[in-house]
Amino acid sequence: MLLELKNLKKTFKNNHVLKGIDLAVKEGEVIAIIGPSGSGKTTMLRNINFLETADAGTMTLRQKRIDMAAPTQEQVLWTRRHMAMVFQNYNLFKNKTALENISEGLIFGQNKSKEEAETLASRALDQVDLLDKKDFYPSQLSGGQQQRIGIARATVLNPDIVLFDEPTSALDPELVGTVLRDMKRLAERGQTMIVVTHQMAFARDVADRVIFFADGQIIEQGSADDVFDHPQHERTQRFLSAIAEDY
Amino acid sequence: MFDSNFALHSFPKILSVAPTTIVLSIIATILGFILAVLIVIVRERNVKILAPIAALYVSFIRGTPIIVQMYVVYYGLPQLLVALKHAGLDTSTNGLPAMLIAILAYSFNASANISESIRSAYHSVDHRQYEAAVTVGMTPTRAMTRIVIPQLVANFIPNFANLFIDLIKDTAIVYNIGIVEIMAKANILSSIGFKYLETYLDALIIYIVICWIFAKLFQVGEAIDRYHTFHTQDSI
Amino acid sequence: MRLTKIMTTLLSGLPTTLTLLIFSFIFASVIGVCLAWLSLRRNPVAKGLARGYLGLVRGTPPLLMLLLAYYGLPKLFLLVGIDINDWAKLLFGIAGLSIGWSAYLSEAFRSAYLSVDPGQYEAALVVGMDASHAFWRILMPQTLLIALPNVENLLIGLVKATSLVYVIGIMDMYNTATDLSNQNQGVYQLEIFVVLAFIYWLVVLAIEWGFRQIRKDYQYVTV
Repeated sequence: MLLELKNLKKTFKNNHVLKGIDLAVKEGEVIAIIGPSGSGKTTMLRNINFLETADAGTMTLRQKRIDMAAPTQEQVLWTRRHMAMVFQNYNLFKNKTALENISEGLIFGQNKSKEEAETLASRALDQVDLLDKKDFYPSQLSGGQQQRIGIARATVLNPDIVLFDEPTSALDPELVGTVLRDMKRLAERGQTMIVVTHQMAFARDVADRVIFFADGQIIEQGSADDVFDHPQHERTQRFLSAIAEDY
Repeated sequence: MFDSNFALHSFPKILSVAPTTIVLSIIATILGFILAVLIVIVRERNVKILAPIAALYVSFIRGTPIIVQMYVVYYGLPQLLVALKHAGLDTSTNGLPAMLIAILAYSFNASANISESIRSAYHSVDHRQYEAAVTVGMTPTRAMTRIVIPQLVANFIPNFANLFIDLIKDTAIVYNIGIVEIMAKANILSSIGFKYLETYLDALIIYIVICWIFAKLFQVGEAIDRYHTFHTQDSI
Repeated sequence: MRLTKIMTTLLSGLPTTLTLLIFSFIFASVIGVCLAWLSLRRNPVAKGLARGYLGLVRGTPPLLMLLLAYYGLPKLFLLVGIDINDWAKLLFGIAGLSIGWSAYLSEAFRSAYLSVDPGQYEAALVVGMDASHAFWRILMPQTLLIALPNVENLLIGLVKATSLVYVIGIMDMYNTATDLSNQNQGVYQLEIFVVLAFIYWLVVLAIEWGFRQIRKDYQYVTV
């Protein structure tokens, strides 16, 4: 196993957002997490890379065990160096150009030289077909372009796992496709990915495993066919039929 | 070294002229506000000729020290009155009260600052609010008075409070033209005893308390206004 | 030409005015940053200290602040055995203005820092930066950009406030003007103060132009 979570718990005030999550991720696996909003999907991602600190739980990443409730500073930095994240609102650095957005993490997170970082960043921009925008600031780019740069910024770090937090939710409908295409390419290259998403088509086409999340727990998981076509749990059936009306 | 007895003794004397400071500030702010509203209307409606003049006026006032403005009025107003007299207007040029000069100078000063503040509050109201009001059938005037202005006021009060308090502090120079307010009284008492720090500390305390009281009053006013406008209590 | 004489006389005070402006602004910014840092601590003592200083300074007329610096600082320093009575008046002028403006600037910095999008910091952490890199590379530049309009207003306010140093006898541009107007037995007083107003206005317009250039340079950075 590349990543293993055991009994991850998180409470906000009196609200149990995560009620003991167990999750194991194999190398190269693409996991789609679906479920109603407010069910704790995003919180789980944020706990995995320590943007928030869990109340309890252990994480084993590359055979290294970390107490998720009390990680040391080195463990936090080490974990983040092995993971990358793509945000719902892109969160590109507003004061950096497209190229700088990608090279920044290489220089200041991975101590690469400026020249090497810029070479790698240019290549990453090329992979998302945006090399011609390298000197543009985020405000000059469309949401779809920003998110594809967000993906390039994550993947250039050569992470073991990329976490996607609803990467297409903030996008105009016509821009969703380009971002999903880049994500699909990434999956085909064997990148391990955990994707919180409302794009059921993406989950069906690309994910090796679909996890249905509700009320801070994993209700059901399995292959896309299992979960979408033969949901076992009543909660999953209700969710799927509710969104079916939207599509 | 520090004569606390003298400081204590001077305090009530300085406090007794505090109303002069406050009255000057309030009158100048009210007059300045009226002028500011006119400036805002002229500039927002882009009235021909007047709009660029108003813009220049605001820029000039905001670009010059109040003490210089005060002396321009102090030396300029009598000359203006003389000129008017020559033009046949019945004006008296003798004995212009210092208070009148100060009120004029500070009103001009306040009008420029307040007009900028109103404008930024106006621009901060979502334009779609006005559009929505017009599409439900309100006249443009009604849309302004019923929808836009109430929202503008809530945005405007904190800035207005700052401007008013700045004005109170700025009045500390009107002793130069012979008005006996807080600073003047402190200076007079100091020069009698050649003890400066004592009376200046008295003045400091009085200014801080006055500013604090007005800041609180405006905070309460804003909270009440917000409650009436939006029925929220977030800034109380 | 009397206008040229007025001009040249007044302009002789401009270097002092600009010296006051530049040094006060630098010191006030440094103190302001420290104050903002203090007031953003979780430590209640640090917070209380910063808030106390702010409350005190913000209710004080700049004129009074200059007087207090001039008469008070020497006594304060004597308490710890340092005699600064012989310091140049200019230094007291700079001290008085710096103390006053540091409070305003600290508020500008603090509120700008708080309005930086928290997602920016998270993104920096997520690409592997440590907290200090995230601060210096991402948060700090954005804070400065957000603070820019307020800083511009404060700098302009400071230009105008330098005129108050007459009160401790510094020969700045304003004091030169009053001097000239007294010399002439009050003949060209209005002219003198109108010219003076225009010079201050030009200084302010120059500052506004400078800030416009900065904004133009960063027009695509929408923080």
